[in-house]
Amino acid sequence: MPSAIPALPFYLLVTAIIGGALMTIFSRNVVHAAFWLLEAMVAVSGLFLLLSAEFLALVQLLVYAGAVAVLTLFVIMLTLRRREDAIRPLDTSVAAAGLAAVFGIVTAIAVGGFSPLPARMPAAAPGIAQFGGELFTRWALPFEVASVVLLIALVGAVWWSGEDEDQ
Amino acid sequence: MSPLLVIVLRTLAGLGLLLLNGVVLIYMLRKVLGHLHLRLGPTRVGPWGIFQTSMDVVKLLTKEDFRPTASDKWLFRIAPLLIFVPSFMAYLAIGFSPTWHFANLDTGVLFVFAVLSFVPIGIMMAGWASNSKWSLIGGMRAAGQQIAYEIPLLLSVLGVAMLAGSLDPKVIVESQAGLWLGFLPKWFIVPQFLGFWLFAISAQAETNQTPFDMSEAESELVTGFANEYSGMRFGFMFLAEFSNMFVAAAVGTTLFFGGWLLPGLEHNALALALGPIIFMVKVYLGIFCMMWVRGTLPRIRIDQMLSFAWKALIPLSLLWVVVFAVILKAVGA
Amino acid sequence: MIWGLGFFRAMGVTMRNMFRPAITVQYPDERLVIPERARWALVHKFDESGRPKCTACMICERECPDDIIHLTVSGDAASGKHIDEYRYELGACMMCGLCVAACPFDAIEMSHEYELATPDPHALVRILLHDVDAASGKRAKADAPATQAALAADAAPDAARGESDHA
Repeated sequence: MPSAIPALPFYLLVTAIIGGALMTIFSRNVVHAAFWLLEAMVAVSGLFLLLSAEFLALVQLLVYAGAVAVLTLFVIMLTLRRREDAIRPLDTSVAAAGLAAVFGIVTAIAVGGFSPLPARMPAAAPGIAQFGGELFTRWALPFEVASVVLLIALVGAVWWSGEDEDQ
Repeated sequence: MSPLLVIVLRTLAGLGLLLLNGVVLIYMLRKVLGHLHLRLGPTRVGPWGIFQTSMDVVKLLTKEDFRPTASDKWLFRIAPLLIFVPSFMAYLAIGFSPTWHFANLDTGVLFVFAVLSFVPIGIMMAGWASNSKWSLIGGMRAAGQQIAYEIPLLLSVLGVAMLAGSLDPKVIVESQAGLWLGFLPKWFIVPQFLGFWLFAISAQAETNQTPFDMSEAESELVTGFANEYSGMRFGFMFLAEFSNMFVAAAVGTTLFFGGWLLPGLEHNALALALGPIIFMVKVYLGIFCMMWVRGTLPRIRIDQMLSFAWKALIPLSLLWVVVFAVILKAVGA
Repeated sequence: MIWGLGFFRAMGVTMRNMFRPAITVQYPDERLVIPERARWALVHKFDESGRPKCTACMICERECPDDIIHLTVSGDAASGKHIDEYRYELGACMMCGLCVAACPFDAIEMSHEYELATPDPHALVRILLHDVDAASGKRAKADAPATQAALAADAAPDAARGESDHA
C-alpha cells in the first residue's frame, strides 16, 4: 500500500464532493438537489476506493446511491403535486436567515474544532474479514445502538404514516 | 505491454462483448419469444433473419436524436449514460475462466450489485427528465421495485458467500469444484436451492424482465421511462437492459452453477481452454430460462409485485440466511 | 393443489410450444385459402358473350347502406338503358353484400379479391362499368326461373350449415 494517496484523483474527488454538496444546497430544483446529493455520495465512495477501502466504497454505493438516493428521489417525486413545485421559491424571511445563521455557526464551530488525523497510512488495508471482526467485536455496541436508532426511526415512520390513514 | 494499454484493450473487449451480446440477445429474444408463442420471430433480413438486429442498430444510429422542449435538458442527456455505464461496468467483475477476467476484484459480486443499483436511478432520472406522465410513472415504479428487490437479491447471495467464504468470483467458482456423493456436481445450487430461487426471482425483477417489467410496461405505459427517447439514446437504454440480463445470468452462473467448471473437467489445460466456452454456454442457458419465463408469465400489477417482495421474499430470504447460517455452523462443528 | 404449481405448468406449455410448428402464415409467400363465401370487392357478372348482366335497375344503389354505388344511366326502359358509368367506392365499402343479396338479376357478386391496399387513393374508387348497354329486363325475366333455382340452390347449403353449427 502506498504511503500517500495520489494527489490528482484526490483533489478531483474532493472538488466533486464539495461542489456536489454546494449544488445540493444552492440548486432551486429539489429533484436536481437530490441528484447532486447522489453525485456527492458517489464521489465519497471514490474517496474510499482511493484509500483501498474497497468494501466500504461498494457499501457506500449500494446503501447511499442504491437505496438512500433512490428513496429520497422517490419521496420527492411522490410528494410533488405538480412538476412546477419542484422549483423552490427563494425564502428571504427573518426565520430563514436565522436558521441559516445557526447552521453556519454550527458548521464553523465543527470545522474549527476538527483536528486533522495524522497523515499516515496503515501498512496494509484491512480485508473484509478483519473489518467484520472489528465491527462485531470491538464496535458491537455502537453498531447495535445504531441499528436500534434506525429501528426506532422506522417504527416512528410507520406509526406516523399510519396516523393519516385513520382520519 | 504497458499497463495502460492493457486497461484500454480490456475496456474495448468489454465494450465489444457488451455490444455483441446486445445484438445477439435481442435476436435471441425475438426468436425464443416467437417460438414459445408458436410464431416464427424475424425471418426476413438475412437467412433466418439473423441480420435483423444489426439492421435495427443501423436504424437507431441514423435516427434523429430528439429532445422534447419541455424536458429537463441536462438530466435528459445524462440519464441514458447513467443507465448504460453501470451495466457496462458490471462486466468488470465477471470472470470467464481462471485466467480470463476484465479485472481481479476481491469483492466482485458486491461490485456488480453496487454498480447495477445505479440503473434504476438512471431510469428515474429519465422518467423525471422526460416530463411525460408515462415516463414518470415508469421511473417511480423502477425506484419502488429497486428498493424492494435489492434486499432479497443481496440476501440470497449471502448464503453463497458463507459457503465460499469470499465475494471474489474466482474463489466462489473454485470452491464449487468436485463432486458430492460421487455424481452430484458440487455446485452451490444444491445446498442453496432456496437461495437460488430467491436470486432468480429478484434478478428477474432487478433486470426488468417481463413478469416484473413494471417500468416499461408496454401495454400500459407505452415504453415507460424510454418513452420520449429516440435514436441512439434509446439504443443505449435498450442495450443496457440486455447487458443487465447477461450480467444477471453471469452472476447466477458464477454463484450457483460453478462458473467455468464442468464435472470431470477441472484443473487441467483443457479445462482452462474450454472455461470461457463452458461459462458462456451456461450463461446463455440462464438467459434462455429468463426469456422462457418472460415468454410465459403475464405482467403482474405493481402493488402485487411490491407486496410480494416485502411480505414474502424479504422475510423468506432473511429467514433462510439465519437458518442456513445455523446449519452451516452445525455441520461445520 | 400446491401453490406455485401453475407456474411450472405454464412453463411446460410454452416449452411444448417451442417444439411445435409455428402457426404463422408468412403472407406474401404463403396465403390462406379464402372461405368460399368470403365477401371482398364487388364485381359484375358477365354473360357468355361478355356483356354485363346488369340491367341498370338501380336497386343496388338504393340498397347500399353506405351509399357508395353510383349509377349514371341514359336512355329509358322502352328504348333500352345505357350505363354511362357504374361507380363503386371501394374505400368506403364495408363488404356487407346487401347489394348482391338485393340484385334481382344476379348481375353482381362479392369477389375474392382481398389485397385491396393501395398507395393511390384514387384507386379506391372504381368504375366497374363504363359506357355499355344494360341488359334488358325482359331477357332477365325469361331467365327468372333459372335465377330462382340458383337462389334456392344457394339457400340450401346455408340451411345445412346453420344446422351443423347448432349440432
